[in-house]
Amino acid sequence: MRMAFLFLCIGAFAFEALGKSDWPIDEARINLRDNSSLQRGAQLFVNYCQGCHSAKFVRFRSLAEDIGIVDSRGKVLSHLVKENLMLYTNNIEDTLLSSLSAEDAKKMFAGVTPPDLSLIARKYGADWLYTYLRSFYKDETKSSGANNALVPNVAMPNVLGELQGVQIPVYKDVQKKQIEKLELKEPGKLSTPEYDKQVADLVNFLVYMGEPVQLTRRKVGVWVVISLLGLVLWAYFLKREYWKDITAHTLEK
Amino acid sequence: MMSEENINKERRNFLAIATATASGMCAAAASVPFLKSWNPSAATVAMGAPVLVDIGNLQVGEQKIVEWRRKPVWIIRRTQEEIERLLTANEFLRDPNSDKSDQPSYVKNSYRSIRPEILVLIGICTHLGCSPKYRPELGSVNATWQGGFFCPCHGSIFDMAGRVLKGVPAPTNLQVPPYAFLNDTTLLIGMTSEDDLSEWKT
Amino acid sequence: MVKLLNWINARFPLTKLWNEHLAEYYAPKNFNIWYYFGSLALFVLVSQIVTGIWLTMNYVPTEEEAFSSVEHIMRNVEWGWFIRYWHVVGASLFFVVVYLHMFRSLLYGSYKTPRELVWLIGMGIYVLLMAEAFFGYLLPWGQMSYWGAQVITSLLGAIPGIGEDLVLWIRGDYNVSGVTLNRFFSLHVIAIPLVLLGAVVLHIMALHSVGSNNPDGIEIKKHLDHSGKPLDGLPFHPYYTVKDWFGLMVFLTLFSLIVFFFPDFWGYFLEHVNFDPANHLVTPEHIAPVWYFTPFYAMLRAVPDKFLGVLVMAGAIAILFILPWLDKCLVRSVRYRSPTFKWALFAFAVSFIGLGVLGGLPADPNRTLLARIFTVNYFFFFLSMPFYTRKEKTKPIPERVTFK
Repeated sequence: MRMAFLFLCIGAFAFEALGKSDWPIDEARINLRDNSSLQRGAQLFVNYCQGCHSAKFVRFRSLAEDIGIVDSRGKVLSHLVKENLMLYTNNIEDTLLSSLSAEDAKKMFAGVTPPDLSLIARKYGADWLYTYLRSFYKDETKSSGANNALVPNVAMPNVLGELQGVQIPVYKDVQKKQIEKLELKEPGKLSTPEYDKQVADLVNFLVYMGEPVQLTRRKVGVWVVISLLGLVLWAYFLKREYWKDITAHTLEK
Repeated sequence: MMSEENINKERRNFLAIATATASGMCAAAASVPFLKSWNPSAATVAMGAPVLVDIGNLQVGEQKIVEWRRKPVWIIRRTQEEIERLLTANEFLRDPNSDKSDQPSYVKNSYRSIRPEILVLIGICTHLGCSPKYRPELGSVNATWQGGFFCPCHGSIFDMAGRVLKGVPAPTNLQVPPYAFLNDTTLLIGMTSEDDLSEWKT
Repeated sequence: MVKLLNWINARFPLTKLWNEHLAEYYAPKNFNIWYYFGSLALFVLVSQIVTGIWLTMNYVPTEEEAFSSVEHIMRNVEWGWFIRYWHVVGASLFFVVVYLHMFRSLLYGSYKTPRELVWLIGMGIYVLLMAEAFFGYLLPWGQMSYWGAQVITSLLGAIPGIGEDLVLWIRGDYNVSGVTLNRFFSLHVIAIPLVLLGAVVLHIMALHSVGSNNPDGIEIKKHLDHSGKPLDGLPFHPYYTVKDWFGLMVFLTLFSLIVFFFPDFWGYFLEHVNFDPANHLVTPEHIAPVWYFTPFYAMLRAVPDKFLGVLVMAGAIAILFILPWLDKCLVRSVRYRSPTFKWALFAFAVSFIGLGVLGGLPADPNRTLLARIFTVNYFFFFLSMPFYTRKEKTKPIPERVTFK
């Protein structure tokens, strides 16, 4: 029965994989313990994303504490936070709200409101975001001038274009517009490896924002599980001690 | 049914106690999250941040009430007579020098304020938490009333520096919140340490 | 201490209750691993109630605030994430434990005479649990919450004649809305848990009055010692209390592993789409219920007619209620039953799990065909039971319990 279940599961996952978009998903190499990566990601976020997107569940103060913008005593260095991250507010108790109102946003992006990004990484996952942000290409037929190989006809413009440069598609099948790969036509401010690294920093930050407590959660978890394993042992010895009676009795019989 | 003589009672007791103790400790640890979740949340702490108050147009004798940490904070510009009166008639006060009362060290003086004319108080009676009434007029509460604060709940009375009078239920003077003058007309109320003040000045 | 106890006993049957349900409740001594899940279910119920109470302290059941208040719990409330994850994982583990508990009953014939009422009350608990899970799932007010409630409430619309009016009445609005959220919240936190607790008490009372079944499916009351105690029985306390305590500790370890390291369980316990707040105007690309409902969801999708689909789905649960009367075999335990029954039970389990897997995937023709086969087999298992169990070739059952 177990085998049958396993078989069904494997079959199910194979089906699932085939159903997905055929644009390959790249692995995002991120590290939530790397505070400098998170800080660079935060800076990219406020400079390139926050103009249109909010992260309304994230507080500047908590953010600063979590990604290490603190002094040796763990106190938030608010002047650093203000200089580097707080573009649209002066109050460090605020959340990461965009300057763009929902109404204006709708007008700008043909009826699509830019989603809040607090939980975006929990919805799509790191790899997907990493691929998405690197898959924009030039497309004059779109009002934003760009299209995306992972999400065709996406409303979002290629905001990181000045860093990445201009990519153009190489078609497998021009008629069906099947893209084989993207090629860098005009270089941007960054080389491709540098750009990929910056996107990874940004994705790292998005993953952090998705669940700020995740590192603490795992740290606490280690202690909880170790303590419980101890309890399992005690409970096992106690059970064995009492159940000695039964074995003895069974032998009598 | 079971052969009693084969049972090692000592071992059994030891294991039972050890398991119960270990389980009890884990249960106690497990209760910590539930107890701690009642602490003020990060959102509440953020709401409790210091507040800036402009006192540029605060008239003599006027009381301004602002909210800080969900409490009323009074800012009152006292008259010259009121200030002078504070220096006399100390024998009716329970704690004239504010020794047993709660206030920042820099206001532990007869005016209970940084500047004699500007009084800043937390408007919560130290008896059971009602908010007293501002009654600056002489003789308004009783015949000998010298001006001050009167708590409607249980009749505690305080002078124009929030000092409690003898013979009323309130034990100590009204609390003074931490505050500072950022400039001549701007007050910062509720900062928690020196570092916070430097942040606000920039 | 003794004096206090006497004082209480003169006024309340404390010692009597203790003896009846623990110290002198004789349970068969050959319980195996399948017998842990009853007490574990009781534990999960309590832990869901406690974490649930704590969640309501910060949750706001309104259309505007529901989603944000859950994130508030996850981010701003001290340890709020722990309480919320425990509740989420607990919901799924509740079903894991209950499904295993129910399957144990199928294996060892625990639903048969004289335990029909234990089974019926247990089925009642299962239905209440499904209602509880369904109402609770709307509360985070994510996209999956919203569209899940939308789909399930729409099922009622399939009832001829009154369907549309019934749907409107259940939702209290022209579509699922904050009004629906409010009533679901009320049902989830008060009404259902209250009935559920009562039903659990009845379930245990009924069980303790007829006595527990065992893996051999034989009656331990047939062989008594000189003092009238069953020879193959053990007082529940201390033997099964220490054993269940050990089981609980193992369970807690697994529970914590999930809560602290895999709280969304790769999208099975917390669906990724649900991190998007509810949007009345846009349905997510692929919606599927949480895993514990997927077997029934797969049946619903497998039937090409709306009303028949609903009937089949409801029938799949309803048929479980009459199981004690479908099974005519006098032997309880699978150990001594015919190969026919063993194969039928195996095929049933495969069908149920298979439906569960299919229900979580987007439908396509192949899967629909497979789901239909499984659905037919699910019903075939029950409907053919009166025939193949009537003259079942069973093995001889032992006089006394055995240890395997």
